Amino acid sequence: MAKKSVSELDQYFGARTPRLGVLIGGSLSKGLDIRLDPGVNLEDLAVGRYVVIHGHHRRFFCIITDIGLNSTTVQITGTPPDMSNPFLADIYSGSIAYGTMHIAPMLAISEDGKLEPVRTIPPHFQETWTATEQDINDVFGKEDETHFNIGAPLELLDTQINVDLKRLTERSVGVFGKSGTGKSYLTRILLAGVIARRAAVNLIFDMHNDYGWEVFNEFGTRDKGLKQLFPDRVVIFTLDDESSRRRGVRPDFVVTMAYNEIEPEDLEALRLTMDLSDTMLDAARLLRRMWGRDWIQSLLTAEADIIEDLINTTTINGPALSALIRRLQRFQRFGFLVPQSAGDSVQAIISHLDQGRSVVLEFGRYGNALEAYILVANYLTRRIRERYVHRVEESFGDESKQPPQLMITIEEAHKFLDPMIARQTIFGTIARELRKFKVTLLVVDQRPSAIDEEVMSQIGTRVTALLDNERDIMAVFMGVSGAPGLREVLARLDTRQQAIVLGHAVPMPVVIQSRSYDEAFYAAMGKPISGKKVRSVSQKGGQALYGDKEFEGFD
Amino acid sequence: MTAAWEDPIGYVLRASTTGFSVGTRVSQMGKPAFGSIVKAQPRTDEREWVYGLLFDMHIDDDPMVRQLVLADAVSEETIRDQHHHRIVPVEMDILAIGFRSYDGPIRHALPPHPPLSLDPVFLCNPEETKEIAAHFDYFRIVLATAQVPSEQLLAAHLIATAGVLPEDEQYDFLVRAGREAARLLNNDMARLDSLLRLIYPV
Ligand SMILES: Nc1ncnc2c1ncn2[C@@H]1O[C@H](COP(=O)(O)OP(=O)(O)O)[C@@H](O)[C@H]1O
Ligand SMILES: [Mg+2]
Repeated sequence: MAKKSVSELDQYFGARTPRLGVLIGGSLSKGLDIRLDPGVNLEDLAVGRYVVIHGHHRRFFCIITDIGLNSTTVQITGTPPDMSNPFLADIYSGSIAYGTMHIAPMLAISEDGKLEPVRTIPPHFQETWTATEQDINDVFGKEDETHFNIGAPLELLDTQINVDLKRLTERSVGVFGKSGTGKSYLTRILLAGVIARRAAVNLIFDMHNDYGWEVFNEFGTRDKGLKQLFPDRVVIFTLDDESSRRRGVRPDFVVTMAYNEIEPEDLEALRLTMDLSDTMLDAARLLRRMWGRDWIQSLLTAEADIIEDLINTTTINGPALSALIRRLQRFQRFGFLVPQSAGDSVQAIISHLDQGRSVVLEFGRYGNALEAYILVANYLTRRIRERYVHRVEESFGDESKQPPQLMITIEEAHKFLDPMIARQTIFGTIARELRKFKVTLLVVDQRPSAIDEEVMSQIGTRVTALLDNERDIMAVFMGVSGAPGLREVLARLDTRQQAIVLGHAVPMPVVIQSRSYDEAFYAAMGKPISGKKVRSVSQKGGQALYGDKEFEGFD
Repeated sequence: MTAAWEDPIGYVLRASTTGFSVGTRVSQMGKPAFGSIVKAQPRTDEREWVYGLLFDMHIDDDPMVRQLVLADAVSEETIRDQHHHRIVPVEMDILAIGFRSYDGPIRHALPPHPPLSLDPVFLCNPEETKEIAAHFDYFRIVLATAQVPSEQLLAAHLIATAGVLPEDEQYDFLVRAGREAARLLNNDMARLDSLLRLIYPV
């Protein structure tokens, strides 16, 4: 096909100003090099921003991943010109001495508006421009029933980045970032979108009472919780009635667990947190078999002669047994553990979920005890998933009998998904089995490198705020093409309210200024969505991007 | 009064495709200057207009001058008379930088044919000067010449050219020209530096 002149391209893409520079080299895998035009001020650029290159037949969307200085001759670096002379400065900067940027191609839009994955690059010396509002809208569309605004791209704060909620909830989601970067707020925004658009029901293990009811923000004022935004669609369960009431919450259900409901498998997940050895866990399994469901209570109240007897007549050895007892004694601090079950929490949760309500489980003061958090989250999740599996299998062939799509939110996720235990725990299983049983995870974590790699590769959408540990950064980008460049971007995010979003729920990686969680947000949650359906081309595009094939994780 | 570019400044003496020499009278040598853009006009439409930069002017001696140089006291009147009635013309050397075929645009390249003897030579008018300086492709030819310090020539030409532009365009023009020169002289910072100092607007 004939090449198009610049003015013809303008007709396709719209005229733009000002130009940033021209493409001078690079590759698809390593990113492209742009020589900046003389007038471009380096200080006006920033890593993470979108730029667009016009090829002959498509627009290439790229993210700036590096900015540099170069010169056409080494002589000039040896004897730098007198830049205090404005005339000399104007001439040297942009000619012999010039700015460069390195950009990572992320997505292409063809002339007829189709989104395509980048499989090639534009030819030499094509022009590069700052992305415009129109460019962003062409990719991310408008908010509608299935697309939810979570923020704006850097420098284009009037535009919206919308995530596809269906795609978000049908795979697991990760929200990562250092402490204080806005993980909990981002998570609350995502959950609000999922609840508002009824994309899924949620079970939220709320370690620090961040989600259900009001929280104090950095200014010491209160921000609303999900229950306050969606009183009919959210119920609050609590493990610590007193703490909940003190904070003005009227919980819908107080969760208790009976000792005799704890199985050795529930301890499995605590292996690392409570430092349980194989021999201790073997002992637990043996005791469960010998003594039945009351094994924990029997053990904790056993007289010395019974212990003696155990050591002498079974394979259990003395030190392991007393270590196990000491560990289990820690449970006695947990007020929610009772001798006899006072009500079926699992059933109560499931019936709310069935009616389309999300459940926030507040941990109150037990949020500070990691053992309690892991024990309860495992205990409930294992049982809820069992029922889900059962029902999905039963409803086989009849969609209407299926339970609603469920997303389970856990914090400190690496404690559940450490490589040492991810294979044995329920959360590892859920992450790996994908959407088969309609349960996915939303994991919130500040140490993604401590999460099992296989689990990580199944996290379809990753929302990542600032991370500074190199290993954590690598973990987040595992399996993502164009990752080396994005690392630089991630390491330079603002310390708050900025994140890179990549994966299943967005057509291309994007750096966002996250939406403010404020009065305007509350108001928007109360209103019906006004936006039209996203242009069908970009939906088609989405398919082209990811293909219809089953998602196999990041490779 | 006629404008500087309306009358010939002289006539072609010798020529090649890389340049030509123009002969003129002492009285006519005031208007052209080192760095001026000039053009040789063909006498038929088959030949091209040849454009060039004036890079040298010289005054050769003749038998009369030799005598006068040795004489004891020469009156002002005699000298003026000698200037007026010289038998050897004042010579101007031109570096060819472009040409124009009948009715075509100016091309920045050496001409396919040299001008012929006695073709009249004019200064370019402001419109032509702007047309030529709209592109800097001829810088390369100028900077490659070995006959004079080429950055001196280019600088003189740029300052003269800037002078025909509106005042608010002059700085920009010199910056753009300076960048092009920087691109070409990228291996010779010393020459670039001396060129830029010469065209630095005051
Ligand atoms: N999207 C947001 N809107 C409003 N405030 C925010 C937002 N994100 C973060 N903040 C502010 O930053 C503080 C820390 O955020 P938080 O989500 O608690 O961090 P993390 O969970 O990563 O430790 C909050 O108290 C809040 O004041
Ligand atoms: Mg938090």
